[in-house]
Amino acid sequence: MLLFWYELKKLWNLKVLLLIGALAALAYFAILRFEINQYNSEHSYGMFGEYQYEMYTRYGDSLSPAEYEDFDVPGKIAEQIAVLDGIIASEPTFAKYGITCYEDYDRVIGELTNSYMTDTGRGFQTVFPPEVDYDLGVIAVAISYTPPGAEDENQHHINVPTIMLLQQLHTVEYYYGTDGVALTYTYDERPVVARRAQKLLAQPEKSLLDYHFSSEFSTYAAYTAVFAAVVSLLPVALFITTDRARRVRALQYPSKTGRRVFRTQFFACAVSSLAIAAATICASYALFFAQSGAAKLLGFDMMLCGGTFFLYNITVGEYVAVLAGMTAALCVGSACFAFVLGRFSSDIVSLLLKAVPVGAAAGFIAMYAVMHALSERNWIFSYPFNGRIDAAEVLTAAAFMLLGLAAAGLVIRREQRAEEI
Amino acid sequence: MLTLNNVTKNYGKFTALDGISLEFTGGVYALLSPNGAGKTTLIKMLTTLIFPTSGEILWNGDEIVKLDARYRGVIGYLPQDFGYYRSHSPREFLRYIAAVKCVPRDAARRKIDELIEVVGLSDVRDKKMRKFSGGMIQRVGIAQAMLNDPQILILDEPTAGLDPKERVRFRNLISSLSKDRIVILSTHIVSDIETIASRVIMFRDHKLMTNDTPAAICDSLAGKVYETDNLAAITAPYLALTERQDGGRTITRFACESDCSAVAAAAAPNLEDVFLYVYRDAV
Repeated sequence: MLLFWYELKKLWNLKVLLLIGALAALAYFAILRFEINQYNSEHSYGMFGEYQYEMYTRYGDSLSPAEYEDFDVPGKIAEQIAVLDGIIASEPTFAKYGITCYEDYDRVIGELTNSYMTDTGRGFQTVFPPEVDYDLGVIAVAISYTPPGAEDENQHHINVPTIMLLQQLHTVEYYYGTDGVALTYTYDERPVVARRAQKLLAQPEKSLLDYHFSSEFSTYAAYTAVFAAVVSLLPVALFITTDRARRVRALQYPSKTGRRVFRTQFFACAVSSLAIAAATICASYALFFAQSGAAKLLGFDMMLCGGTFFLYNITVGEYVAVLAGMTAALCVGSACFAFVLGRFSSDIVSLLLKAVPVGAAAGFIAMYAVMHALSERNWIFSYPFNGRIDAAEVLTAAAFMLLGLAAAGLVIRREQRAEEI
Repeated sequence: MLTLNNVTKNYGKFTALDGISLEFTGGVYALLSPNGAGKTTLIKMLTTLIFPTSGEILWNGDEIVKLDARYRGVIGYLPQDFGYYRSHSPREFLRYIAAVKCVPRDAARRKIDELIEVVGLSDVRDKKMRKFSGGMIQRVGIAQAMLNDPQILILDEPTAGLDPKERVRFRNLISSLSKDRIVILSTHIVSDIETIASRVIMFRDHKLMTNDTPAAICDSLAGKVYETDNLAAITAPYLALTERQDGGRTITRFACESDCSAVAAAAAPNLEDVFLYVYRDAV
């Protein structure tokens, strides 16, 4: 046990801590902070805008058909159209094109776009004459009129153009008033997706989870996983290589502990990788939930999260746990491969030559396994596995860890009789 | 007793050591041969860093590989180019090695303080080793080798790279450590072992050539070593060994199979003469 602590102490020296701290700061300011801001922005201006907030304030984490009726989407659409009709009546340019109401606007803009479509030689494009182009500019400004409003203490009710509110209401109508999304996926060529769509059709309750949560959070979690996997590789590889490069093996192997020191070092590496995973996940996820206010979503169902079609009935909290588990598995796998690389590197340069491609591979797997995990949008699920295997991305992360453990196990076993020349 | 029975080590088609049989009981054993003769290979086998291709190495009648930790627990080893962590102080490093050697914590603490004192590093016990001289590093090396109070102390080229003062100090240290244990010392520096070795083991063509006391080895050249300032007068075939200046004259020491006492002064052979004579093709 004492030796284990000494090995951990060797692994976690000040230089390594400073390096990891610098990389963490870089990752946060260059990528993660942007992702949090992106989510906050989309949360207010995205597909459902304030209507989503209003629905889950009134109905909780899911919406039944009766609640949908109560929300009265058609009534809200009619209200916004009435506002737009007023805008159209007040701007003479609309009349020039025979637009007297929103219904005319919708039809005429479509017709104008089609009538000025010409073959430019590089495909069909709409090219308006200058006077029409000018008038359409005036119309666009007028129709985008933003009614005055005020922010509440939760930063909601930010001013949104009426035309956008109308679009948001149509989206609400499509996602919550119909089974359009699920119906579309029943024809999907990927068996797991089609099966899931059939099940969803029989499920009248729909989740009110924030439309952008899953894609933004899983992207954020994917960057976190890439960071954690790459960072797990660094200290382990340096630690193992240093003992060879400094010829300390010649002191360790003839000692009473002998080649078992290599196994102890492996346990130190594995524990360190789990510590890196735990620290990274806790810090990164806490930042996301604290800064985005998404912690209140933890109990929501992920079954149909806006544009992301989820394949399993799990809550946000469970989803976060799955992504954290995948990240931890990728970290352990990465550390195991680093351990193997370190064993076969006699100096830092030869280590780097091997670590760069392995780190890139670990980063690639982390990115594409975690991003949109458990949804039909996941790349590993959809492409290498053609949507035929349930949770293929989770299995990939687990396989990466198991392969790493197996490789490290083989190297440890081989080391018992390896000659230290 | 440490015994080698017909030990051979091959690296592919290359034979590094061929059919070596030796016995080590107590005292300082010096492995003396030019570089590449197989000293380090033998030492690495004795420390279980590498394994014999054939033959066996026994400690008190049991094979050392089978004894595993029970054998490694009785050896102390200072490798050639001793490896250490530059950011560690001697005390930190020795604590780590004590843990590797499974020395209990309290015993290790006492032993480390004692050994730091013995090797003369008390003033720098908590200083980072990155600025240490080669001699200071070697002293840390001997301290780590002694941490488990080994019955077999194996030192591979321990004085390489040391200045004369450090070498004398190191020889004295080894001599003081050699009581009640086997010390196996590999070197190609003859003066290191002349005074402290109880037996000298020499290899030639990767085979054991001699295993005898320094005096007996020197006796093998008795009557064959001479000194003269007029080498032209020597008509028989001879091998020039060393030269020195004496009162403006160049005195040449040489070995000759024929009696040259009429034209040169007979000299008592030393180990360096034997080394140069035996390895005349290699050095």
